[in-house]
Amino acid sequence: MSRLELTLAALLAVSPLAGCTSSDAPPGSPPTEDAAPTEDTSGADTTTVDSTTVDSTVLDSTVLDSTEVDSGTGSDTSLDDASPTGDADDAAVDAPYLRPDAITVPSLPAFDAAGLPKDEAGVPTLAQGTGIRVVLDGTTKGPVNALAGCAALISGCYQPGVRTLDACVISMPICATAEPWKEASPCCPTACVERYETMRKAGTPAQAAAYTMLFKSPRCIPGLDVALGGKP
Amino acid sequence: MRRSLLLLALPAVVSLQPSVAHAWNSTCRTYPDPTLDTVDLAKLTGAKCADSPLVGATVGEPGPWTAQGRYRSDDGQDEHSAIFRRVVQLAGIPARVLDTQHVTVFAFDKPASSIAGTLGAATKSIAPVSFTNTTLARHRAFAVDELAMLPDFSYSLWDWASGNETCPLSGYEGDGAIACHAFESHMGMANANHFPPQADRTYERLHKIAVDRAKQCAAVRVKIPAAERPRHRVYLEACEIESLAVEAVAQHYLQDTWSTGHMWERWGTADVDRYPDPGFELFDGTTTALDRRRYTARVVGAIAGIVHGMEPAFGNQDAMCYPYPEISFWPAMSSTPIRGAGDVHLADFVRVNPDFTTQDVKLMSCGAASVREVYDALGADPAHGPASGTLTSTLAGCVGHRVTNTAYDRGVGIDAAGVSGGTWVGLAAVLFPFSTAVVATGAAAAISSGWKLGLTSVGASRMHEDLVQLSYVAEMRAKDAGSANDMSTLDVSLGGLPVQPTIFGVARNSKYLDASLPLAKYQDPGLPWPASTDTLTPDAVGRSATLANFFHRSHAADYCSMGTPALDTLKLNVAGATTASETEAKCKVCTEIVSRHLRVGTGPSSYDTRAEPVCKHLGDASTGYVYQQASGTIAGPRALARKWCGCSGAAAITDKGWFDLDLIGATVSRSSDPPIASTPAGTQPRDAAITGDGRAIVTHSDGTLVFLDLASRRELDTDDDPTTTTPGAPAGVTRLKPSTATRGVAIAERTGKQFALVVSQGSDELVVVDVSADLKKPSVCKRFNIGRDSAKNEDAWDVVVMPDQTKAYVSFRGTVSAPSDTLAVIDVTKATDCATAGGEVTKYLSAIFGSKAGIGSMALDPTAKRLALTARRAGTCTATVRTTKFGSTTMDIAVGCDSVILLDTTTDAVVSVPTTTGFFGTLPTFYPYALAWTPDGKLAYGMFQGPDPWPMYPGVTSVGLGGAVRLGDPAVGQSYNVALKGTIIGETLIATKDYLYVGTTSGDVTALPLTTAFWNDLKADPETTLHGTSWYGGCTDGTAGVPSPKACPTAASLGSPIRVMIQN
Repeated sequence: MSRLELTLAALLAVSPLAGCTSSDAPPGSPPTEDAAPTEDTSGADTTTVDSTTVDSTVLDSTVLDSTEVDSGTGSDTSLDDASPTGDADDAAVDAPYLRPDAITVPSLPAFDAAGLPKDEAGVPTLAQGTGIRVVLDGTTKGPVNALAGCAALISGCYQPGVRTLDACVISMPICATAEPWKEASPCCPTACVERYETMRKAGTPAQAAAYTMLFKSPRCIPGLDVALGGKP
Repeated sequence: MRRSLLLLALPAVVSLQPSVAHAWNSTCRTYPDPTLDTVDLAKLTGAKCADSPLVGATVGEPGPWTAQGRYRSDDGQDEHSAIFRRVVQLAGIPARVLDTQHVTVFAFDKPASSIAGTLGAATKSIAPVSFTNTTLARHRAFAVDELAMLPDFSYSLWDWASGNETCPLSGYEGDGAIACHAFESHMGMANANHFPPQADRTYERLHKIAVDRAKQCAAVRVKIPAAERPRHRVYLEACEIESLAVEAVAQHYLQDTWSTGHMWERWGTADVDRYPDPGFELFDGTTTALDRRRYTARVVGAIAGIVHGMEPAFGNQDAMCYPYPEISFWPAMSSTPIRGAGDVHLADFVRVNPDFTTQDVKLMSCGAASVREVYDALGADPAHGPASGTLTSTLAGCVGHRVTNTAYDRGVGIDAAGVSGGTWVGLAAVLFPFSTAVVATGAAAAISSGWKLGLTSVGASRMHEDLVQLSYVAEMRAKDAGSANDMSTLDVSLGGLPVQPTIFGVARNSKYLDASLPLAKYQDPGLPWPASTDTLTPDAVGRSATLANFFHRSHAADYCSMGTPALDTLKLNVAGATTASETEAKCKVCTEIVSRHLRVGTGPSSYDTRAEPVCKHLGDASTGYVYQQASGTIAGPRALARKWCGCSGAAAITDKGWFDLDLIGATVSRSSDPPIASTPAGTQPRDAAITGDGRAIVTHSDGTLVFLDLASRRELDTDDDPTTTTPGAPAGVTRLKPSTATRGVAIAERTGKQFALVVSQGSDELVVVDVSADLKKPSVCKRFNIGRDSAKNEDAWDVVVMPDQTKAYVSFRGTVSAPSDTLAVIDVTKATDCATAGGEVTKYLSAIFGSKAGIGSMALDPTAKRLALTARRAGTCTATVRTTKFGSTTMDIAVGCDSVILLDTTTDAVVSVPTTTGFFGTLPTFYPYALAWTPDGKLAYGMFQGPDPWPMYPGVTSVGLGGAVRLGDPAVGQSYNVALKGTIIGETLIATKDYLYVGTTSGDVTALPLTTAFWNDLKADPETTLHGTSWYGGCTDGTAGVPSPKACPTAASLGSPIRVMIQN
């Protein structure tokens, strides 16, 4: 070609699997040997591509124009322009709170720390960064663990169209002690459910009420405000 | 406060790699010679530099070590580079912009300990300093695509140009260069700008610098008349490379934004000292605010790694970089999310799997559009050639991509088990049974006291709660609006309640964007370089000076205002140098700069106006000029500048081409410029001459004449038709091939014109080529037979022209068994009269050289009164040698017994020298090839080879003789032989006042001191002695107790057989 047109067809022509691997292959499927990348640009005109799968922006035939380079182009504004809106739970925002029937709250998913990388001391490791490692410690627990259990139960239960947040919160297993982090299973203190319902009855949307109940002072988990050193 | 949740002093980790949250992978390698071209490095397996992101270091340490290595890979893990190479290709930019670039850096020879402490004494600084302050010349090499990986090893381009020898991280400068450049201790905590929107802004800023620099290059280029640009192309190309180098660094950040693990607002900023000080509530210890900020940054960085995906560190398939089906993103300005992959999955998913084709297309389109914009800014006629085609992609929508809420949720969760399809669990669920703790790791723990900070119990609880909150919010947003992307901004609404998850109160990336502050304090300065007017960037002027000093050819225009006093200073600095290394640096910088100001001639009223220096075009009223007349093979701007500076140089012509050498006493320093590929494939260079205007003519064994422009370091076209190309030659270059085998060549002058007299070995002809400077097409104007016996081939060999242009000599060597024994004397006036034939050979000199001699190479002494001739004689001689080192046992062996003969150029009679034969002898070596006169009238001569094994007595390992060199004094006699490791196969000797330089087929240049002691008693006549070791002197192997070539240090290794050496 005497004229280089950086079109999708041209680019796909050098993508060796284009048109020869099923698009519904499971992710992670290893590429076949004959799929090794090549820099050969021949055959660009003959490649068949389903253009409907590709955003047309990049295929704009506009010739590159330096005036189109603009600091900030497409970053922040694109989010506003392109993001879908509308949350699944918003429908109930304006409705008066009515206590729903209790439901069965799903258990937390099983987690086996054995699947995590471990250091030489056998400590499961969550993350590794600049000179530090964030590890899991199963020997020391406190109010924040209780918060994690309650929060995980709520977020795990909530399923738009299946289980409402209201139903999930009022159905939480109630902690039996004032030190719920010592209990065998995750739970939410009664104070949490009560605080949630108070906010809901006052017209607070469910998501806002749940978040505030869990993460805003005064917290409903015993000892949590103290543990966090007065964090608001 | 009570220290809690801090587990100090854990044993070293063996199963975890020190890495996290790089974007597309970057790699670094160290090599024994990191200045090799990429094609040669590709044949090697380099050792991994310290802190290579994917795998642990195997060699050295970060910082200076990595800068002195190469940012490249030999295992396909160079994702950033690979993307850049691809986009350059897609953009239609000439591929040679990716060739290895070679730069002479003028550095200062400071103690290694002042650089980094543990580099070792052999490692010297590579940081550029001002031209007048340099004491150390360093050769650096890089390919532009390698710089797309730079931000993972260096803070910025100026940091890399400075050799990573300082710590640019504001507030932590005292931590030292090594720790500062370790991802584990410093760089990882400062890489928030590898995530949007800081990454977007960083890319845009650097891209604009690249474009603007390219425009400056275009403006510089048009100052040079079009016809003159080819001569000055090294400066024009250097400017283009600098623009693309900046763009490569910029594209690192552009590429980062296309990795799914990076499509969200990581907390924090590149300047760690801008992090909020958490105070002693979170961290205990008696520490400074900087230490607490450092620790905060590290915790934040580690947690960012959870979201990003820990695969680069742990090797498991962890979202968001691992492309699980849930990992989708919204390309900027797109109406629908698409699937995506991230770090370490360019080759196995993005480039090859159709599910990721759109990501691939968009990423590559943006990169191509970006680099093409830089290239187009170079104007209509870039020195690297025009880009092909018209690009249809644009930069619209190239930054600002964001992962979906579902993808983010998957990122926050834990992909345990380390296998595909392994259990995924939300982080909050994990943090019920487990608390979190922070552990110091690795050598970084010892770097500073800041490391030993411990989290208080409140600090530990806060971190734990921050993680729970992040997990909760991510899961809720994923469930409420999974395909939306607000979670990636860390600025969401839960039931109308604004929620902005932070870590230790550190806000999301965009919160740190402040127009009154630099994007990063360590950033590269804004243009212009070297005198940046950037008021936001710290030390902008100093950094811009560093960059301009590194890319000094690119900035030729900025330095052309140097006046004559400044040039004189560079020359005086040479004279004032006290060490060889310092002399080398000062010679190189003087040559480099002065060549831009040098006019060929004797003064302002007498110089070659057809060969103006580059500063004539780029300078101003203050530009100074120097004048130097061409002389013999010392011609061309660099050679003349070197001479003006009081330095010596040479060209070594090998099978790989033309190497420039600086001769600094015992030091032979290769130019950082790569050799000019002057040797056609399958041939060998035979001889070379240089015209007065700096063009070199190289003869070859297949008859080809190659013309080189030494100013622009390129081969010249000989038919002035760019549409024609000789097979194997550079595009557009047609070569002359006047013979089936050319040998000697010399320049003759007549009536202001220059002619190359070329010996056609295959036909016993002299081919006369008009090479006058005003000709665009050097042409054969005449050829005539010079053989004494036209019935047979007499093996015409070499040609020498007398300085007064009255006559020339052509030698004939013949075969070993039938030497030609002849010298032809040529009338130069008739030989260069292209219109008239006949009478060119005035006489033959024959049967005056002793027993039949095949006359080969020739060399005039400095007065032109004596002509030295190598004479290969038929057969060998018998000599008696000892068979024990000190005993009386002897044996007879056959050895070479050739000669070097002196001819009086006035009488054309042989001049006897005070040896037993009247000639300089060669025993026991044979086939003399090389000749060189010293300035004080001694004659060095080199022979092809000596007897092997040698010595002949038992108990001593053979020294492995190659060729040998001798020194003859016409008034005294001859020296012992100095044995060489390689054989001498051509005219490869150069003599200066103090040293003799000899090149061999081993590719080595050896420097031999011209001291009497070294030559082991010049008055000795080793032809007549009973020989054990006594034929040999020079370098003595102290262990074996015999003269040994192994004891002569190699001054330079060129890696290719050296066949010709000329002063230049």
